[in-house]
Amino acid sequence: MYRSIMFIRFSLTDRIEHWILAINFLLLAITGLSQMYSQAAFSEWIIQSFGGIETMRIVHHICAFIFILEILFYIGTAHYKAYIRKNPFTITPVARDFKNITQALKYNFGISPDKSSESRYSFSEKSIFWGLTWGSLIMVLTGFFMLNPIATTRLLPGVIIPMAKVAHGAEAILAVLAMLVWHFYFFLMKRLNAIITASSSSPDAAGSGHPLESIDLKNGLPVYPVDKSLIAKWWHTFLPQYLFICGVFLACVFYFVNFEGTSILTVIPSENVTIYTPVETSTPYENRPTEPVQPLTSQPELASVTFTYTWKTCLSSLFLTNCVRCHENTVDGRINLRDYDSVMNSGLISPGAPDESSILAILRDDNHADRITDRVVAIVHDWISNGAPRERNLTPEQIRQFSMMTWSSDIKAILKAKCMECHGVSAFHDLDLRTYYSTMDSGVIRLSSPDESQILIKIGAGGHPGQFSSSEFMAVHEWILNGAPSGMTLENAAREFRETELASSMEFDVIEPVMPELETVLLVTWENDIKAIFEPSCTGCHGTNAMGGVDLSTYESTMDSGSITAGDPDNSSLIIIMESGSHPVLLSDQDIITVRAWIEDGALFDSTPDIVSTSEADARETMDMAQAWDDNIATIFEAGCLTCHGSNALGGLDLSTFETAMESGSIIPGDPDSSSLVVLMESGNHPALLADDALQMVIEWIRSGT
Amino acid sequence: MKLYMTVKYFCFQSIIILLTFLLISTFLNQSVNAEGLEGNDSCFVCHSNPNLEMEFPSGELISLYVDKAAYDQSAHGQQGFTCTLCHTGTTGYPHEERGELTYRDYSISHYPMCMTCHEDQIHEIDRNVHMMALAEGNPAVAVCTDCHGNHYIEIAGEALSFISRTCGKCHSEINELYENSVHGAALIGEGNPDVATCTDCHGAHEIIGPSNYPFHLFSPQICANCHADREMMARYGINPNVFDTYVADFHGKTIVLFQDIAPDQETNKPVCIDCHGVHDMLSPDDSSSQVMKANLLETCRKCHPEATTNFPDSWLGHYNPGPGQLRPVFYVKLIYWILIPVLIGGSLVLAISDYVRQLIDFKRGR
Repeated sequence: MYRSIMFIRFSLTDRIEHWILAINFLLLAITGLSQMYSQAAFSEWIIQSFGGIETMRIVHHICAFIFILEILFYIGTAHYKAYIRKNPFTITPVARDFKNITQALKYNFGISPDKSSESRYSFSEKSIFWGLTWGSLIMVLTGFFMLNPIATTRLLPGVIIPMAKVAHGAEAILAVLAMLVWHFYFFLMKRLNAIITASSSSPDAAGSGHPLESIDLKNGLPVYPVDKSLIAKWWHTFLPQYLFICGVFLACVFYFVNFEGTSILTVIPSENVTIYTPVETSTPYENRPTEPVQPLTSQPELASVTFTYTWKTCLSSLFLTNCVRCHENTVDGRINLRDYDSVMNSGLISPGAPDESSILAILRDDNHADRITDRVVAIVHDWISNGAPRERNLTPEQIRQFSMMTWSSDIKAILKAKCMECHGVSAFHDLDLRTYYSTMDSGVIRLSSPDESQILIKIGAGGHPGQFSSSEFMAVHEWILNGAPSGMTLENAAREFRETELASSMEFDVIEPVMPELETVLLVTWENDIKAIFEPSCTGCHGTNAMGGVDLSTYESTMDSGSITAGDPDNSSLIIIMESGSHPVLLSDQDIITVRAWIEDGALFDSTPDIVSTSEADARETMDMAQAWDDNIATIFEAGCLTCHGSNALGGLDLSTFETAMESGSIIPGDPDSSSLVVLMESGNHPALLADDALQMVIEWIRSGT
Repeated sequence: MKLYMTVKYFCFQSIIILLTFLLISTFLNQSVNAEGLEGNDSCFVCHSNPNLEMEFPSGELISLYVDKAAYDQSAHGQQGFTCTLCHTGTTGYPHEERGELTYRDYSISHYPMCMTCHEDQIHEIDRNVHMMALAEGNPAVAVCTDCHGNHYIEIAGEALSFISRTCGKCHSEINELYENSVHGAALIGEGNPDVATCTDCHGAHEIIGPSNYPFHLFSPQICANCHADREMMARYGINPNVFDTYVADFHGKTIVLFQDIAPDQETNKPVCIDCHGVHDMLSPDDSSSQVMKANLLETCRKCHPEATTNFPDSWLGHYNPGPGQLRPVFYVKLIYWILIPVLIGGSLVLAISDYVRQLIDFKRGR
């Protein structure tokens, strides 16, 4: 056995450094590659064992930080070795290394018998070292880019980030593969060397891969002269400087790792929307005609805008209706109220000063030939106090608000409040303003021509019983001017129409006058009429099972039930219940009238031989009504109504004679509650109202005409 | 004799009792189902009256009218179901007093009735947001009838546009956003059946709260259902790689990892809707789209407030780098594709050949 000479190939610090680097490298590789191949099965397991991706990223960043520390440490020690200890910088690649590569290949493949001659570091070790150095640089740089994309893109183009990502990943694969190949190789070589030498490192063993170095070693350990003053200088000058630079550099690194926190700290702003915003519906009614679903556009606040009447929108038709009949050149030359200029030139109007305008005094004067309603006076007053403008002068804000007005958003509500009492279900004058279709169909609206639309002409003239407020008037005016948009989907408009049609078919009977048929008919009897009414509607409950003790299946049981008092419908509980509307099943109004007539006629079972001509009865009744007309009704109307509803028939209503009054449709004989004349008087909406006792007489008169 | 009388009396009494019982039972039976009327006809005797109404203690006026023709056309009417199948508490007239104070209360107390036939839906609605809110005491939530209607239920699956309108009854603000979005406009405007409507993302019955993290976290897969469908996307010329490229980049990678590993945890990484908009998402070609190139910086700044003009370019816009597009990234890739095989291959050649040589040398005895 020969004594082996132990040779320390790597110093302790080198070895510690190596192991720290090895562990660090391993951690970086594991945490990095499992992020890169995050969908692979092994990655999931690894990420889970690290406690999730976020924790693993932190580990990766810490390792990167340590890696940078090691680079700094390495620079320091290398500097020390090279400049103080004067160690030759043997790791530097030299020309011979390239020769050695080819030589080694030649030898390995048996081309050349000579091995390559390597010094302390073989060409393979040198390439690993420099590969590692190059790789570290790339990794540190690209890692920084990825960690701080915002800072990076302040100076560099954005595409640098995805480039860095690709490079970081690919470089990592390269490094890992290189490490695997060379470590595995060295491990095998060491095993081989151990077999060859069967001893620990000896100059020979060390030299087996490094022949030149072993020659050096055999000549004795290299001794390099150390300059003491240099060491002192290193300690005093270089080390503090180095440590300072390291400190600054570390601080910078630390700052860069932490300053960009948005990717970790930011909480994504969520959608700013109110989740529960139910569409308003007036009632939970679903089967009855309901308001169409309101469109979701914001609605203009009508009240916030002030409106003025103008000559064009309103006053022209008002003057035309109320004044021009007398005050035009042809009739009364002194005052011409035909057009705007002549009205302004008449001297009757001082714009902006209603108190100084003599026209108002004249209009209020009872001695004026024609009675002018207060409503008309109020409009004229308004118009003058606003400066008696010819045309509208809207602010852009008003125009914007007006342009947003649609049938469903505004107009329907206005018409519902102001018009539908008469022009709704009862369709006074065949005018039904309940739905968009019926309104547009009625002819009172001319698209884009409010001045030619009857609805505004009628109301603007001031004589119409129902009136708009000035803002409502302007709203309708502008709406027509804008082409009367519906603001509804076709589907909604059709629904609105359909439902109202349905409602009409159901409710029309209530108001539609039931005019007695003029042909001769038999008296209302059980056999002919009543049985047919009761059977489908009543006998389901009030048949043989006699719910509530009422059996309406036969004439006898009906008369025995006590619900009929022959000759007195108002005291018959059947009529009372039906008319109260509280019974779950209701007869149609037509049927109730028939039953009423039947009871009144004595609740007969079968027609008696006497055939009464209803036309005779009718004639008698008409005579009665006509008689009463002559006696007192005519006087009442003459005093209160004929100014408007005389021969000039305002609104088509002529109350000057009995015949015209009955034809107008505003009087339904026997039913004052449905007669629009009474409805209107009682509502108080009409400009002129009858005195209470006079109205009572009219009501009695209408009721008498059954 | 006495015995005979007793027996006779007893028989007579029995007969009387029996007759009375028969009479009463006949009468009772008739009051339930009015004479001569079958099934629903006895109900429609009253409920075909358009003016029939009732008032809840709350003052709400409810029409009790049911359109028989419309009911007969409905999904249930076609099956000939009787009214009492749902209105179980109602057996005769006058009806039993009910305790509900409001119309809403009535709807809520009646929806479980649907489950007697539609059992499967119990589990579907079990954990949906509406039912959870109901359990917390919020009455303004949708129950079966609020979406499907009550008497005139239609068979589902016909007109898709009804879905968003149905949800819009309560979520009008969201519906308005949706109707102006690229999906909503295509559905409402063009009647396009491919586009997503409310239920495609939120589910029909198992509606999950969108504010809950699992929904947010897994939402990219909802988008991918259609947007990774190559056939469907080809019809509209839309890039079908959006999901794959999303997952390949930082945000998507984290999201998918959270889905796999920690589905119950929050993450602040954005999903599709965070950039493209939620209900108001527009085509990226639309000038007001959040992901339109010109608007992208603003969108990035929602999470990265310090971002500058170059920053949005770091996002590859759902494209894969190639020789035609995103060349700088492609070239980096290319360099490494060449470098890795050359370097590692070279190393392997050197290492293996060296080792083999030495082994041979050793075996030959040097």
